Amino acid sequence: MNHKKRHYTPYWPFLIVLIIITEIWTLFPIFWALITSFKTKAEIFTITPTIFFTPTFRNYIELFTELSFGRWMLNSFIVSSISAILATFSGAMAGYALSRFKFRGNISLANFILSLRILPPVASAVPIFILFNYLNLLDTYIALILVYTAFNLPLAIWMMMGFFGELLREFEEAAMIDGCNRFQAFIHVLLPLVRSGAIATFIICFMFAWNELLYAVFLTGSNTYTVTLALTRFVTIKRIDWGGLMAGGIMSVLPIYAVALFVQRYLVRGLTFGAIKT
Amino acid sequence: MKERYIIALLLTPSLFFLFSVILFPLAFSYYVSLTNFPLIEFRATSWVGLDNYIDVLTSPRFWYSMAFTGGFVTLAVTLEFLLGLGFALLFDREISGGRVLRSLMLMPMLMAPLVVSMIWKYLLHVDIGVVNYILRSFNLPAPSWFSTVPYAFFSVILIDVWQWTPFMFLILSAGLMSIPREPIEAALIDGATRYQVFRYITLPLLKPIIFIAIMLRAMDALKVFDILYITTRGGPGIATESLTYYIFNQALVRKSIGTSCATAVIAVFLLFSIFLVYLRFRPRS
Amino acid sequence: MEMKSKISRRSAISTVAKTGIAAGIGLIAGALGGYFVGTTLKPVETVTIRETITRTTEKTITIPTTVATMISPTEKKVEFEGVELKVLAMSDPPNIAFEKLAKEFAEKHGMKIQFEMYDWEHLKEKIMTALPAGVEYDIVLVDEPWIGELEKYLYDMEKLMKEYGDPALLDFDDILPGVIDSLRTFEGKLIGFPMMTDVRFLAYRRSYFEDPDNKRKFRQKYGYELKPPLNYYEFFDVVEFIVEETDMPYGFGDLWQKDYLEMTFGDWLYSLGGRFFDEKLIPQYDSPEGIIALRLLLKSLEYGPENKLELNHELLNVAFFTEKVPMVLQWWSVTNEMLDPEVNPVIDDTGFAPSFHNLECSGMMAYAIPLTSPNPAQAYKLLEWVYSQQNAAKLIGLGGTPIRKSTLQSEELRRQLRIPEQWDAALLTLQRGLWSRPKIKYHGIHDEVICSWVHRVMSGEVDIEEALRRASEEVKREFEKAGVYR
Repeated sequence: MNHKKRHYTPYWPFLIVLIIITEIWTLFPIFWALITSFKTKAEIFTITPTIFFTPTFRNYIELFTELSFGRWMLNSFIVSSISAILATFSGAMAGYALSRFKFRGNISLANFILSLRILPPVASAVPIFILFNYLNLLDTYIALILVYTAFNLPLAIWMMMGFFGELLREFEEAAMIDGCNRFQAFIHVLLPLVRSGAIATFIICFMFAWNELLYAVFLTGSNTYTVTLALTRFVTIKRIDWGGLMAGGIMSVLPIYAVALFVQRYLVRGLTFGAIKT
Repeated sequence: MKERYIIALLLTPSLFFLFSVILFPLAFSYYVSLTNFPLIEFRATSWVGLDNYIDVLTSPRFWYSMAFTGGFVTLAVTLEFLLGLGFALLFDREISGGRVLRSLMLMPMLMAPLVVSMIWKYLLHVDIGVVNYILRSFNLPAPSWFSTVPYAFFSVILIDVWQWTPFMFLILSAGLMSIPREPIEAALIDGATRYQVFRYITLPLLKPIIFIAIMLRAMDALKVFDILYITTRGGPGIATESLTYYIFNQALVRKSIGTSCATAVIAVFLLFSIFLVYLRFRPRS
Repeated sequence: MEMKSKISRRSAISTVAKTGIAAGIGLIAGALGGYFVGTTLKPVETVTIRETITRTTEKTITIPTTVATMISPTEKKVEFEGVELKVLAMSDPPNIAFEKLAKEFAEKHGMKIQFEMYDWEHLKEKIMTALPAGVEYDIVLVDEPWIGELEKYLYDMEKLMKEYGDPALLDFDDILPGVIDSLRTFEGKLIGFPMMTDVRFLAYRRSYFEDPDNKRKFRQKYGYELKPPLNYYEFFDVVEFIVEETDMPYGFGDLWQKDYLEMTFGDWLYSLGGRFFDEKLIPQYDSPEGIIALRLLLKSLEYGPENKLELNHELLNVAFFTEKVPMVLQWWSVTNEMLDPEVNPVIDDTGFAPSFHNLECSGMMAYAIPLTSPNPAQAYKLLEWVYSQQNAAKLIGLGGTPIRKSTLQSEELRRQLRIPEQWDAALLTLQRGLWSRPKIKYHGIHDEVICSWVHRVMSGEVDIEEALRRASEEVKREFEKAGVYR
């Protein structure tokens, strides 16, 4: 699978420089955010930015002592993980149905579902708010979970469709020849094989839900305040608390990085599998 | 026969979510777009028929937001594609620590757009930002990146490109990895240059992937909102007002939900048509 | 090849057709469904106040008549016990001050209290959707321009004061009259308890105005003493002088970002005797006063720094701190930032003067009690206690601005200020006169239209008369659609 070129070209040092530049381009803003999170107010508000300074942990400590950052991370985690799981499962089922069963209109339906992704979330924000208010679902986890699952589904279905494509038909047919019915084939043979795809889908959905802001503003209250929403608190009329904001931003990104690092292998394989095999 | 039931069963949960959360509110928007619905009253106060649609379609501001969105998407996605392809080609070789380097490349797209916009707002801050500091030390002009017209466009595209090039990089990189090596090796042995290999073998084989990558990214770029909300707020004037921002403005600043829904309906119709047209060009591998 | 393109064209057409049919069905279904849902979504039932207060009075609250007979702690506990209050506020320092004191009060009386804090943008979005939708809050922060839109969802604060007020604690006459008046609707209903007084005035670099060289040159050129300007003639003289004769690169900074232009433009407009609307609510943006006001605004813009078009409160302060401008027009509550030595490197050179406009924008904020609150009496007692005179010092110390005459006149508090002239400047501006942002029901439309058009003029895209004319037309059309002129 991994075919890598092994060419000893004379351009080698040039390429190394390019790679370094690319990495700097990618990482510099993140690096800058990181060091800013360790600075004090005075150090941030100067015309000459500094790289060497005495670091302070005050910004991070204040996140948990003055604000309930921990509780908010928990809220985000609950909402994101449940909606990601729902999206992945529903997506897997629908993806399987759409790719393995050749019924009339299956391609049109698939295209239609994918096209839903083009819908701007803003457009439905107020109608959804009205609807959920009518159903008394405001400030509940359910509201956000429903919304995030729905918005993640088009991509989830599409990715899983890619997985259940050509490559796995062989396995399914082999299993059916061996005597399983379709359902058993699905459970015992296919599901394990699409594990990487499922994990990739889960991560993407989790990420979207975790990072989402607009619906979080409308549909949450004090019980379901999410982490991304909390970051807006650092922007006050008088000043932007850059230190706290960067600290909060880093904290809110760490869980995703941790999870992504852990399942990185699946992520790459999963995302691209879906892209390639459709 | 039984198959039908299985299909229905498999599709039900997804269809449930999609209909209740996406399609039903959209239908409700159709209704609201034909009324005057002030947010403060929280109900439709009067029936105005197609007035909202007429107002939107005859508003130069709406067409400008379409033009801006189109321009933004074209520029941003093109840049992301070119850079992504460049990075993918660059990293398509055995390097020690290659896997770590590659996963570091993905970091920007995992962050919340809110956080990314904030970081860049700080970096491009006219007084205390690093970029202007560096420019000043070289005696170059250090402009205001968000409130003067050519720079505002540039900054907004820059932020989007920084965040989403890794996405292109990821997909194109995997695409490159999945290309079979035999034709390439054969061509090289036969004396083809690297460039010829790229142009006549690699690129055509990548076409389906490129198509999908651009489609996915463009679909998201059309909805650009977070960046504008945090940095330029649609300004200076209305210079950086995207379609989504225009809809948001109608709904939550003017608090006129009727016109906002009318704009949304028009936008959905137009975007959907563009999508269908795009699908026609899908390469058959 | 041909076969393939035929197939794809056919399937594309069929997809479009199916989509069209689906959209059509969706349209009809939506219209029917929406109509049905729309008629069942009733507006929020407004409970009559008398009823609520009588009910609560009978059950729980006994009103103390004098300070001496304050309710004993045990009694209070019974009344407040188990009550849970929900507060919707902003994340700025005066609100944090309120949060601290409110938590103290709640603890003392066995209540639970929950805070939701957002930045100003999101607070606006949240409150505009939550209140009309009937979401239950006990206390919400209301900014002055929102009063017209939200007043029908809020309790009449004076009625609550009459029923539950402890006169000694409340000390109504001690509250600055300008503050109270700003928080009244057109009909005179007081919608909330003042949380802070806010008005704009000048912050300036003293050294530039006290330098004898500058003074000499200025007197030579203009014929009078150099000082912080008090009217428009002086203002334009001073900024011209600063830019031409001193080393300051720019002369003046104001809130020129799009979202704040209603205030900034309004300052010039109202000071010249104009106004945004006439009695019939017809927009007056393109009146002669409006055109002159915008011209003056543009002229003042010439002396601003390079990021002038995005100057919000924060950037304005930064421009001052990084010594780009010697003079800024800024809110009282925001100039509190300038009193912080950690943030203001030129704090020892900072002075304050009254605004040079004839009328200044009134920027009060209030804590109001929505009609959907289940505990209005308890919420009111909390507000009354936090903003009573005894806690004024604490609130000031934590970043608030005075709402009481006694606070403004307190020598002790003034001595504690790092730069006491700040309060002098505020007082003088207040005395000069204030104008209020129109408390109309469709304020959002007016706000967005005037802000975007004026900003477009400022960025050079449109010219003055055309912009103001089209802004007027736009608002008129929207108001017509909304039925304002019937």
